[in-house]
Amino acid sequence: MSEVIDIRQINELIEKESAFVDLITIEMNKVIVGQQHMVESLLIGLLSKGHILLEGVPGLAKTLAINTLASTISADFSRIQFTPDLLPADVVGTQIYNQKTGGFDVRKGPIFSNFILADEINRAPAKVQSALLEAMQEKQVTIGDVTYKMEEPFLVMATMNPIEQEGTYPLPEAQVDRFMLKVVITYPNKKDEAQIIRHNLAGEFPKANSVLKPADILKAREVVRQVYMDEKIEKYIVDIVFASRSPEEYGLGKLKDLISFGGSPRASIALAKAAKAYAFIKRRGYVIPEDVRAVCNDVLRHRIGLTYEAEAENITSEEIIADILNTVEVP
Amino acid sequence: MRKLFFILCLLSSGWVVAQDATVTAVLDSQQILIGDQINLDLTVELRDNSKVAWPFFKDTITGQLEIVQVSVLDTTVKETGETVLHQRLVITSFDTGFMVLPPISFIFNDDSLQVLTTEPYLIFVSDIPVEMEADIKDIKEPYDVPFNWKKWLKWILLGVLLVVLIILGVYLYRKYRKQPEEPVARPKPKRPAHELALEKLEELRQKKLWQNNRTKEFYVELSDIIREYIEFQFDVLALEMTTQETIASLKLAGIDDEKLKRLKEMLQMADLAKFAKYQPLPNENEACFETARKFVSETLVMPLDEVNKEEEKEG
Repeated sequence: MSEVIDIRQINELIEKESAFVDLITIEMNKVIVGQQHMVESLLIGLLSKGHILLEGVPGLAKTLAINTLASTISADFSRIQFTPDLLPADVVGTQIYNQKTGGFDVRKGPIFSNFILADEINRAPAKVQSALLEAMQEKQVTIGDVTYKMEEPFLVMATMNPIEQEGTYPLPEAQVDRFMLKVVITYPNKKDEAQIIRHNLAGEFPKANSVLKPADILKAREVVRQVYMDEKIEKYIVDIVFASRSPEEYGLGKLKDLISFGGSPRASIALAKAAKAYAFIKRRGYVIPEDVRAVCNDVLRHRIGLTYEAEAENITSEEIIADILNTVEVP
Repeated sequence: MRKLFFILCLLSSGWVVAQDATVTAVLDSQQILIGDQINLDLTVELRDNSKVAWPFFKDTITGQLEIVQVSVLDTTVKETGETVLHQRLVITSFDTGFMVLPPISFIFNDDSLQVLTTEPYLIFVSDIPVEMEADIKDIKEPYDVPFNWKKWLKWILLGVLLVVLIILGVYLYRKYRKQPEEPVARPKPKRPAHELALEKLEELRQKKLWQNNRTKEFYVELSDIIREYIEFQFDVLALEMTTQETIASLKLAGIDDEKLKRLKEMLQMADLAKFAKYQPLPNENEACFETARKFVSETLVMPLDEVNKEEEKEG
């Protein structure tokens, strides 16, 4: 009986600790119209220590959303506009000669913040991208001989434009894999679009208030960690990721020639973490298959490699994920 | 002047005969317009096995007579045994007036004493008469070069062959490529879905799982039985769906809201027991079991063939 958990107790804890979710959502909805999925994905990333890559055509409020999220939390925020002439030192910092002391002073770069907005990440060359991605993975930066730890919460939110590929440096698969979620932003619906016009014509641009401290996020992350995940759900996650690697073993032989590589173990970890965070947002102390399915697209879409055959037939990774979800048995 | 020219032409025979060979030089015409081209046929007729050194021509015969084209040396043997050697030169001139085609020498048997030469010719190259009083005319358009099929035929055939090979390749690839495996459909039971479901529910009741503290197993089996029933009875892939998706699909299948509400509560309770280590109370277990049994009983639709069999029995 020691294994039995008190759902009521954990739900109460979540109810108490997740109150800020509503506050953040309200503040964000003041500024961002529609894009509920994007707001939810940003919260998942925030709660599960996962960096987020936002992809969408220009004008869908990607940058504004990240800006707004950062402003709802009273934490350090840096925005780095990625350009082709950006250097790694512009991101991580450098050593500058001090004439008075005759030594070198460390000038920390904009990466030393809680929230980093890497705008149009694919516009900078590979060495700048790797400098950022290294910091994302290791949560530390070395300048000269000294290694500096990043302050928690440390969250990178990058934006990427799927069009205008000329003069860009596409992120390699290994580096894209470091983003926990890749969120694809779509156009708002007619009603939301009309409201966006009204906001802009009125000339009054609402601002989000700061409603949270970094310590609250760290506390909430600890509660998210406690969200119960049954081994049946773990098996479900493993089945989904394995189906992306060996689809023929799951009766999905038709996908074999369309997938060049499937999800890595990092995908399984990210899926589990994101599902827990999603359950937390939905005020649940345990994960159900719905949570896994809700985050599956964002977690897996950039981790499934497509073959030339799939590209020739215009098959997207989302279609492959849909096939997998429709075939793998739900526990 | 012209009369003199014709007399000279008539007098010039154009061929020379030796004892064993004859050499001739024949012109198409001896009067041409400036730049016009005429053929000069050189022929040597050998009546024995003598060897002849054929003169080598470069680009001019004299400074004013230019060679445009030289054919290959053609050798034929007549029925009477004579060997005839022939070569055609295409010549022209861009100077006006009388041009002399000099005698052309042929050396026999490498002996400088055995030389035969052709007769010389006079060729009159006239200028184009210019009408001074006529209007100035525009220059002529460039001539269209006729399309040379022979030159391009090889490439056209090669192109056609390449296209045929590509089409053939694509056809063979499509024909023999490994066809994607179709997902193996779950075999449909021969017996009616409700019969199986009710039977399995009865078996579950007899196992007394929740009474023996195996609540999670009880709910796993209970939800599996009901989802399998939904899949076979309503053709809804409930085993691959979450609770919400199953309910939404059943709504589309026309199941009324009251039944769906009860089923949803039962499936959510099963989710709690399966995924949240929740221990429902005994009366909740009984209620869930009863909900499942009732859902099957209320939604069973006897297949038409079963109805027919029943009618046959009664009849």
